[in-house]
Amino acid sequence: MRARGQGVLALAVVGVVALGAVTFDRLGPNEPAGAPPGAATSATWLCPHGGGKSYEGTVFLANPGDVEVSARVTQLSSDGTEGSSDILVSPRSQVEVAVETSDRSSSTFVETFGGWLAAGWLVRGAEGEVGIGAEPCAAAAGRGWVSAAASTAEGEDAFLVVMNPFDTDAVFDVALFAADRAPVRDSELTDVTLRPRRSTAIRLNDFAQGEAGLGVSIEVSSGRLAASSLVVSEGQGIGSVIASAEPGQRQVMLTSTGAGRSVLNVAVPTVTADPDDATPVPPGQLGSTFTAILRSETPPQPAGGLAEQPQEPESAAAYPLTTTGPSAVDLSVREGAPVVAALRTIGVGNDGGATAGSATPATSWVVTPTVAGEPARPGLLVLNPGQSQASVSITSLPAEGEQPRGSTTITVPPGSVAGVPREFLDGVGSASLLVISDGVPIVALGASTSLGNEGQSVYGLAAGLPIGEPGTT
Amino acid sequence: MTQSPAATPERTPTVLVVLVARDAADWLRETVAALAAQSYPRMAVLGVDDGSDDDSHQILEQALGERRVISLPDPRGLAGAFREAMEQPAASEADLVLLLHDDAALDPDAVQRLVEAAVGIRGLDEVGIVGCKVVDWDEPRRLLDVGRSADIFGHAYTPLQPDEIDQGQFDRVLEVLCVSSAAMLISRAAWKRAGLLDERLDADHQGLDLCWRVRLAGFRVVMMPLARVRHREVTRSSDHAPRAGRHSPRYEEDRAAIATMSKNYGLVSLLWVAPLALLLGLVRLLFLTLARRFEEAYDLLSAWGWNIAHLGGTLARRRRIQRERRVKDRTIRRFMETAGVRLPRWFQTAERILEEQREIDERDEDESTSRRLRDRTASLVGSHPVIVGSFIGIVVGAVTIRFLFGAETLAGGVLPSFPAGPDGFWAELVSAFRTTQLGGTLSASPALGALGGLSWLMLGSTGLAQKVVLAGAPVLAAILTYRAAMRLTGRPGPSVLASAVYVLCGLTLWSFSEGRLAFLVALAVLPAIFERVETAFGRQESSDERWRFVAGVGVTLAVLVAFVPGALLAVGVLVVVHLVAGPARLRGLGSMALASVIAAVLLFPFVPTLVAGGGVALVSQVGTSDLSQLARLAPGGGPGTWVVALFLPVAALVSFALVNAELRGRAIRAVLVALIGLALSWLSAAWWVPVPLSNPLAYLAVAAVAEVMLVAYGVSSALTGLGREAFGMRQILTAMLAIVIGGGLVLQSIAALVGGWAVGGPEQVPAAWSVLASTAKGDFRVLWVGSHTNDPFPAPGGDPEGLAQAGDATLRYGLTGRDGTVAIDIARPSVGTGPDHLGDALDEILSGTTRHGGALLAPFGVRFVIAADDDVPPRAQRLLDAQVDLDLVPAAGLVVYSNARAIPPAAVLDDDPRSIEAVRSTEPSDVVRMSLRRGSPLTQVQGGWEGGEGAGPVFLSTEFQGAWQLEGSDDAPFTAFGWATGFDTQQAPVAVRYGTQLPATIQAWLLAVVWAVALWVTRKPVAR
Repeated sequence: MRARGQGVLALAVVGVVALGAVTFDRLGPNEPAGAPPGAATSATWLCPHGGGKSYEGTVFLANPGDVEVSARVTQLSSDGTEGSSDILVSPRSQVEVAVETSDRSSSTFVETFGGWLAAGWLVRGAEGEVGIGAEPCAAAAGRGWVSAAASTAEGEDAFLVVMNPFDTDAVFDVALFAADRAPVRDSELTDVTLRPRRSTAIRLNDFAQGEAGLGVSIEVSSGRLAASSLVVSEGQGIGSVIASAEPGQRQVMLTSTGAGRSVLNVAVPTVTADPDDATPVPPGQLGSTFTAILRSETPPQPAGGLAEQPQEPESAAAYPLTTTGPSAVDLSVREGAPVVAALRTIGVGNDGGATAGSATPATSWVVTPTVAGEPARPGLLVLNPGQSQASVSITSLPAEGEQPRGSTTITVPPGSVAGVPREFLDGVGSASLLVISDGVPIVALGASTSLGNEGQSVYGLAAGLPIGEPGTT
Repeated sequence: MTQSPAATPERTPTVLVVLVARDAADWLRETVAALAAQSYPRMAVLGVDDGSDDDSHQILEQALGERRVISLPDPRGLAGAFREAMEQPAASEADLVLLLHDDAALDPDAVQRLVEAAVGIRGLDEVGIVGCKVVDWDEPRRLLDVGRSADIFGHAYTPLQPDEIDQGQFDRVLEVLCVSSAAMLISRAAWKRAGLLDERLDADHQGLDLCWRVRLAGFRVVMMPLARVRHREVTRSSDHAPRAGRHSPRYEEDRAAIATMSKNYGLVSLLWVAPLALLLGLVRLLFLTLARRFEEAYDLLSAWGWNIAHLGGTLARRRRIQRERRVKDRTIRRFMETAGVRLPRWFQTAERILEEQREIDERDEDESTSRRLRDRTASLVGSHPVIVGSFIGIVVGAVTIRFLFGAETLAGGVLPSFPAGPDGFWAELVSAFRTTQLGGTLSASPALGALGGLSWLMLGSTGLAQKVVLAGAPVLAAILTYRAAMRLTGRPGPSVLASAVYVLCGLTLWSFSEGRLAFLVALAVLPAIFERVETAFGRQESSDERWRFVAGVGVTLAVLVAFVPGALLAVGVLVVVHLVAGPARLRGLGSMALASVIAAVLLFPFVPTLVAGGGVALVSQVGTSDLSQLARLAPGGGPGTWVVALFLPVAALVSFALVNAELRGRAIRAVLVALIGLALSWLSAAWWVPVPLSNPLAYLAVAAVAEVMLVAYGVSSALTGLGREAFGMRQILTAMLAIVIGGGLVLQSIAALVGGWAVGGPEQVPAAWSVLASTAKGDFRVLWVGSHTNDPFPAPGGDPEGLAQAGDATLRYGLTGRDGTVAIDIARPSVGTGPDHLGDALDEILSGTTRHGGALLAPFGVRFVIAADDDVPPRAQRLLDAQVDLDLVPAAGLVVYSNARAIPPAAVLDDDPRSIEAVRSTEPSDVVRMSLRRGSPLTQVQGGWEGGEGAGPVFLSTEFQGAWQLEGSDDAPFTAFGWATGFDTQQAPVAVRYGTQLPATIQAWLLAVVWAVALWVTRKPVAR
């Protein structure tokens, strides 16, 4: 081969290299396979329900599945764990676990194995603190929590209940937001250390008294935890609302008739939509603009006139609403930072209800009980936020050994809220309810009136829990 | 004070010549004739026939008369024969005795001149020994001896260059340490006080020993240049050395040096000289062993052994010598050379080079400075490429590895930690079970034997051995690349360039930076394999004997695989390419097949490890699918992996265009290897290659070697006849090649000199790890995780060993002990039921269906799950965050989860039903429910574990083997968690031992024997 041929060969090599590079570039890396299905199903529920002197508390564990699920229930307080108990929950049934609620800081940690359970709490006040507080438990601990449900208005005591069921310290900062004041970042609320397997309650009145709408933000610098707000009111009884892990662009809260008066608490804990954007923003320039639509049996309309409502960043506000019949407040952010909201409804007697609602519609729900004592009028509201009609079946998940009440089916028109017929619910008692739509995403909430402590009527609101894959985040 | 003959000048001293002859009939007459021609008047001759088998006795008798010849029935050697003569009355009466070899012909006035030097030179009193200027018998212009010196360790040193011509340059009376015994004049006072020759030493070194003693006794030793003697040097070679033939000359030298040193030094001197000599001897022994010069190593050991065996005789002589001592050692040392004189060849060569440069200077006096500089550089590099390359390499290398000089323990990169002592390597090599990872019975790599041996040679310092491997592997790579290129091209210049290009290419520098000790060794060995494969498939057979060649390839292959099993894939590429494009396919295939069999025999306990899990040992995840990095042969970052690293592929390409007809076939095969290597490297890194064949680094390495050889071929071709051709494309390409290689080497050298390596001191490990390692108590394991990339983990996590596929939550992972990646696990894959279950546990976590990942990881002893910052996919991080028993620990630079459910790798668990139930469970769904407490840890000891408290079940986080035994109990072990080992026990402390160690021990000894045989067969022959 002559030298010229060698040169051609070298050019051919260059060509092969270039061709190979282009081919490889187009081919790209081989994508990995998906995760195999898990066999060791387990999940957790964190229930920072709080409590008070002589309070009674129950954690409901409802098993909507077809296999037996075991649970380990561990109770926490500011002194540490109160011990744990193992419980088996049969398929399609519910177990009521009486929990210690004699302290504001009382909390319950539930671990489930072998399947999916829904867990929610219900606490009943005592010794002058009338009412009930009910909410679903949080599925996971987090490193940031926001609540909009606190109120330190006159006659109201608000507590932030924080639980750390883990084996390491949790260190966190608490910031309080209100309507017309700078955020409160007190030294006592900075670098608060919560030791392992403990819970605590912080009285918010000590830091921001007289705020009807008080937003609370928790930032965890070490460890993780779950939080809720517990409001004890002279006129409105007890309301407990689980905090949200992160602000969102939409939140749906339901309420039944009550007295027709509600308060929508909205907190804007961040200054922009982008939490990584650290650019200082002058007050009033950003924040959030949201719209709250009231959905009920009547055509949708702005709730309380909240159409394109601006709100300052790092603020919280309480907006009065009027509702009639089963209603839903569908709050969505139009522009700016995400928000957290809670709906407080004036119920019957001296007890109101409060809920953080839900951020995402789903097709299957479990709604844990919101009744305490007999007689009771359990209520269940179903919102269909979609565009097509939903056919929803409701089945009770009674305590083990009790006969199920059977099931009923209701039809929910698009964009409206429907209540489940009393004929069905009257026989359910304190059972959890399994709510399944025909494929149209819905939102379910329990709203019940019952004879609570000391012979007074109480009102409870508790959002349902969407049924997901066990343990999914 | 003893008077020398010089004190009585008025009397002519008598001289007795003692002529020692043995089988010297062919030249003895000339020697005797020369004696007869002496002009000195008062001289007598006494002949000693040292048991000759020829006519020497008759010649002596004819010349001297019967009465003046002593006949010895058996040969006694020079010293023995001389002693016999000196026992004659005439010897004691003579003022001076001249010892004369039978092959030494004196000039007519030689004795006269010797006597003059002994008695008549002003200022030179008390002369004990006078020597001659010794020249060659047949070529008298050639100088053989003008007096000698020695280094402090007793090794003789001559100032003469090889074949130095006598131009009168030594023609002055010189006071020296010793003179040749070919013709040595000794005063009566001197030999009476210092004694005669030490008959235990060989003839060549007896003179040095005697002169040293004479000097100690207070006499001078001088060389008289006017007294000339022609010498055949027969005595030096064999005739008068009774032990000659059994050992190499170097043995005789070492033996004599040690004995001389031991006898003649004073105690104080001996206290520092002897240890120093021992240390240097060890270094030499290491070098000889590594160079497979086993016979020479044996000779060195024999020399030590002889001196130990003859210590009694040495001490007896020493007592006498020290009794007669008149001067201190420092007086003698004035006539000695420094130890540096052992490197004379370097200095001689340097001197010659300087001389050449001076000549060029003189010749080009009229040229401009730049022209002269250019010419001189060209001449220097062209004439002495190896020396120039070595010098530059040493300078660049020394600065580059400056961080290795110090007592600091190395850390960082993927550098494996070494055990505390050499026995750590050997214990693992011999152990019947794996003490690392999750146990099992996979044998350790025979590479541990080499690392243990090296550590032992470093006086037990494994830290030093670690540095030696790190610094030495690139040097070895340079040497072996040079040798391979030399064999393939036959030209030193291109070979030196290829060697430099290889050491400074992106892959080598990256491997050095990362502290990839095993891979560096593979990089060093691969060029040799490349050359051997090329030779095996080449047109011409190797110059070595066929079997020796094949055995050599087998040994090289075994070394390669022992350190990096995946390198087999690289060899596979070489073989396949040569099978397709090689000239002698059948012969090559046969040779490689035989070599593979030999390699398999040399690795026989390790072969099951290599094939376990379908060949997982061959696999590596580390590499790069980034095309620009791939082109630079740089799988990661670090000094020398920048864009300049492209110089090698560019130079290889240009070289390919330049190769001449002679090297064209080889070049085409090298191009094929390079292209296939690069393609397979990318495909492996991009996860397209099935598991047993996926190893991006191995393929990249063979591509790098092929490119380097292309450079050697190209440069070699370019230098052939370039000047005779008309200017054209060839010249342009050559210039381009020079620029690319020159620029690349310079810039890569600069990068190496100023670069910050990943490996270095403790600061190279993330601070968070240091804190963790120092605060966490007890034994534990660490699960290292990271995103779906080809990168290693942060130090000391090492390389990933598995991949938990979960879509966008996919994690690569690896398991280490609390010391991170360890050297005793070199080349051993993570495979078996334990790793399978670990993968399953990770799959469970990543499936998102569990929140109790800590419990799932507890049986593996995992106390921490660690990742680099920003190296965990968001979904995987969410899943890890969601685990209730994995707590995120604040850690700068790392993401660290602490496992709240962790149990020690070996422990006595709590005696409660839950523990027992959990340990016996095989289902992950049961494991997540368990709430084991940490238990009482056991301590790992040789052969098992022991200790602990309590009365619960014993749990070993090591793969179940029925051979585990609980001492003091007949209970068999049970399978814990479906893969590990457990025992029911009633009371701690416990002792758990592996029951079948003996076969593994026998196996290890067999392995040692096999290696000894293989190395002996392939040893470097030594001249006798």
